[in-house]
Amino acid sequence: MEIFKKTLQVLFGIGVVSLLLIGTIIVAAQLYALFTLDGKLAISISKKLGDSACIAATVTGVLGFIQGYVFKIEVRD
Amino acid sequence: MSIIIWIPALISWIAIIEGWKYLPKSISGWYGFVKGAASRYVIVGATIFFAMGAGDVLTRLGLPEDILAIMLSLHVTTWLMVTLVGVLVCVVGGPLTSTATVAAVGPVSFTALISVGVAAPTAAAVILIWAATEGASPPNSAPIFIASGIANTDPAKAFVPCMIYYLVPFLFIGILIALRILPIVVL
Repeated sequence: MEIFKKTLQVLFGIGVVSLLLIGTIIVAAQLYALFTLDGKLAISISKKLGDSACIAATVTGVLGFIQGYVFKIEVRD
Repeated sequence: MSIIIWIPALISWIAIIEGWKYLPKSISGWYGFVKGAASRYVIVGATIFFAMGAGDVLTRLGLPEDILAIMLSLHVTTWLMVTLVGVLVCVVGGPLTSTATVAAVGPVSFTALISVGVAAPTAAAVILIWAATEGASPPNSAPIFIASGIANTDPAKAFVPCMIYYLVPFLFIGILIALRILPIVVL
């Protein structure tokens, strides 16, 4: 059980960090595209990394949900 | 550009820059910090995941088309048609985003309102007002999930108050505008 808990925490941490990194890359690239009026870059970065960001967010969300049960985390009303 | 990606990324970086001195300075500290974020995902992460899934399923099952077919088969008075169109747009806005709602039922809702004597600019305005309630109606209401995540509260408990204090009043505001009881200015 301890290995499972540890694995959950590590995967959750990887998920949060990768989500932030992918999001940052997309935002930075699109911001650059905005200033340089490069529409192709704005669209292509979203197409290339958008799905990865969504998958990372989904997996992280589900891992967080499972952690709530495994670690019996209380949520305020 | 997706607001779903921009908002979390920008808010995270603003928070990191703003609260830099309060953040951990070691790898183990960061690990504990990220680990502690799990509590924010307990309810919100799962609810938003399943809510989005449910919204997508309802859309694929043809909810907008089915409700639309029922509505168009009715022959009713102006106030009842306006009310039905308002309820339709708000209900369809539950599982869909405001853009998808307007795309799905906007044209027919517009035609239905015009057919009972509502002026074209007014019809367009009230459809937008009703569609804008999508953020306060479950299951697909990202603003509630984001706010609940920040406050570490259960989003499901925000649904009913949001609907009573926001969705229903805006439904009635739209109806009153369509019935010319509340005025609007067209420039």
